[in-house]
Amino acid sequence: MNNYFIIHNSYFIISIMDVTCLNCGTTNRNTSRFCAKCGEELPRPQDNTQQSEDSLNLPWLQGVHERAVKQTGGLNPNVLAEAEARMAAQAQAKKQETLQTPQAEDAAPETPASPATPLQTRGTGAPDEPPPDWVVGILEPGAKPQASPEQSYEPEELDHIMPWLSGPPEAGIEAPQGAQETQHTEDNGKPGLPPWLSGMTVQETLQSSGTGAERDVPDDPANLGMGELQPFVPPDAPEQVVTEPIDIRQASKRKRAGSTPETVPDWLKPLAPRIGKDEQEVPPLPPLPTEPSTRFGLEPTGSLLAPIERNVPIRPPRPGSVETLAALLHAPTGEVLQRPVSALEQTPSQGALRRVGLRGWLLPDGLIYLVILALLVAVLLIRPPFGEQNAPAAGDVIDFYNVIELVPADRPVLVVYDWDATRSAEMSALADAVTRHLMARHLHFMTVSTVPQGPGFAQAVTDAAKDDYGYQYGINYLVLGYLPGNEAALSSLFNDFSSALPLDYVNGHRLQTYSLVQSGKLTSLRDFALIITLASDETTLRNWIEQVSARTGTQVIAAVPQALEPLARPYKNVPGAGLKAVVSGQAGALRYIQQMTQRGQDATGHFKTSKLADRLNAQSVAQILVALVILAAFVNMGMRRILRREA
Amino acid sequence: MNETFIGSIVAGLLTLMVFSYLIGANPLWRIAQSLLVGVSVGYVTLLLLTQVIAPQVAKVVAPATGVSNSQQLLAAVPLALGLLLLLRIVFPGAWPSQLGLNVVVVVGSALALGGALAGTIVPQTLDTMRPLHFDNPYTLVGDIVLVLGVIAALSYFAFGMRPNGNRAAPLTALSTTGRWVLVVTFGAILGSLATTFYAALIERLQFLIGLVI
Repeated sequence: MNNYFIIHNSYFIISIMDVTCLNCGTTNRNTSRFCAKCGEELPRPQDNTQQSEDSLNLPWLQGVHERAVKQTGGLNPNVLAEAEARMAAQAQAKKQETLQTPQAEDAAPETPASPATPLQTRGTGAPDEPPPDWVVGILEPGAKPQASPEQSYEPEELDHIMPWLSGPPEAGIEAPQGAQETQHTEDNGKPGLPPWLSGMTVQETLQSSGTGAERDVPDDPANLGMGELQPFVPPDAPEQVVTEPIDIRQASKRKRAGSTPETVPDWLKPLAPRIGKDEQEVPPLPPLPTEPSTRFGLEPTGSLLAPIERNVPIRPPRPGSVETLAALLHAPTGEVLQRPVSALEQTPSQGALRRVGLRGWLLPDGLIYLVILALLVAVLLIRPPFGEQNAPAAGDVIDFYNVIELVPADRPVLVVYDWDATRSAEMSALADAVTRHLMARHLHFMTVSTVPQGPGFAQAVTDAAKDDYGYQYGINYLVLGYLPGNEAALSSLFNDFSSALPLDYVNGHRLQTYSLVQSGKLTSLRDFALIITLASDETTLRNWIEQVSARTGTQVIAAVPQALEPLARPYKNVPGAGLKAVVSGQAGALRYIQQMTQRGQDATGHFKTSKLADRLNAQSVAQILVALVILAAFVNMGMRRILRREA
Repeated sequence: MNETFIGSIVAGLLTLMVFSYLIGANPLWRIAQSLLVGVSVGYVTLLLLTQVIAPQVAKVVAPATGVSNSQQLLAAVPLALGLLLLLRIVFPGAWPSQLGLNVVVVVGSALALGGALAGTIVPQTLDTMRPLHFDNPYTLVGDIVLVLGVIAALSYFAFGMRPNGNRAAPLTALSTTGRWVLVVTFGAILGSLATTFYAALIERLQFLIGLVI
């Protein structure tokens, strides 16, 4: 890669200087349209481009150019990421090898990135044609340049044209020839280089050209757009991994110390101010990373090594973010995941897996599940003597009971079955108690549902209780069925009952065929004396309160599961809402049945009080156990916090 | 063999299959889940066909005696809107298919808004403005707690701040109190919900025990 940058910059210099007049052969600047000597029109820019392309006919230069274009043209983040991962792995492996055999590493000779062979004819060489000697001299300072057949200068002429080739001016005059060569090798260390380049290394040349030349290269067609190429990223070249950070500041110091502007050739002087200006404009670089960098393709230019400065406020990382990032960075790559795993690794042991799975299930959730289940089953089986609750009925139950008791005997009641199977445990008991209370009072009632599962439960509950009270379907009660449409459906019940629900649920007959409706007393919701809502969802309960009770003034009482009580209670006895009473849960059902029994009404049908009492006992035990678990968890957390503070 | 007994056996097996999810996802649980979904969908489909669609179609196609033409045409309107909805199957972006949905959404929204105002917002606001009954200390304390709790909870949702980004100290204290009021409220709801699920679990366990014993 270093070779590439040297060659690239040298090629650029040659290409921008090499515009020859076709008439007199005078060399002109490539930006000139006419010859400075004879005034003949110079070749056009495309001709210049063609000329530059001809200069690319150098096989070794063209090969380098094609390689660079090919390897950087397809650069994208994915390729970069893959290349980074691959190079990081290789660098890590190389580092480990270095740690294992440091002496062998030191003893190994440095292999040049590209072979240095004698210069051949321009534009007609083979693809593996070596670079010219001046490139070889830069790449390998110790190599002695070989004279090409076309080199017709005598040593004296060569000393006059390029005096640095024979050594420094001072040494070349005073010392003999043999001493000169020795001094070349020992003092300067870079024979074949001009004095203004003697203080610079190849790396410094790259860095200076990267910081200055790459940024300030004019928009010249002669550069073939190579200055706009993306950073060179070799996909699979382990020798190109930069394992050591490049100290640009030291290189710049050496460059400043070793540079002698007086000896710069005239044809390079126009570039000299620009380089100096670039050096002045380069901001001070931050401290270099201490760890070897694996970001290849960026460091040689030097300019990309410096961080990009933005006016973004920097805040400390959030707790845990550094650890998370480190874990992600050390996560196995897809390549590792796709690695075939041996059969032994796939199935370590079925017994071990079973043990781990059982332990993982048991601790801690499964153990709590098992303890709760065991206690519940034990309470339901043993039926401990702390059994039946004979506490006096709460105010809510008494209110609920009294509202039903105050319904006139000649007016029907609408029972809303808006609950589904998920609340069956509580709502079945409540619905059974309410139905038996209505039947005990010989009230006519109809059921309606805005939940699809409601009509089925209504039919089951009424069928279970009707024989105990001598009720007949169609005469004393009706199951109307499912009413879809939420608010709009409830509003439709205001006008004509039969239009919204033309058929009953049990038989599928028209409502007018039943004597309960034939009397003409039931046409709309206003004809009902009471609406009993058995709702398991807040939305359905609120719909009946907002759409029916608030608009018609019809009394509404609600029997809801325990989960809905906190949401239903705010509507109770609120002026305008119309909710007169709320009873909830199995405890409410038990007290409601006890209230009916105390008043001489036989309500102990399907749900006996002892059955409900067993459920409540088990429920109390479970709640106490869960409360203890929560308390233990709090104690555990507190103890851990205290111990952490002490530690 | 009694059909109720068979039904109880099936119900018991299905209950055990659902409880097997405590161990982990397994085929038995998946069978029970699929049965629940399938039976529910089938039940609802039949219910809608027999209770909703068929009576509405009968009103148009075979009206009962005494039904006028205007009533018959009026009954055809929802049926036509329902048929237009089927256009979405063939033409997903057809505008006529949205007529029925638009009517449902607009009417439902208007009714919900009116009902919320008349049945919830206004009554609840009025109920918060309670006169203090000094003759009954329990009611007095309850009313004070109610009013202060409402004010504190509402202040939690007040976002008025000073230009420097801070809130006034009394408002901050009230907001903190309101947050705790909300925490207690949500805790009560969560506790009630847990009670409901315990009731369901115990009912199923009692059913299984009754089935075995």
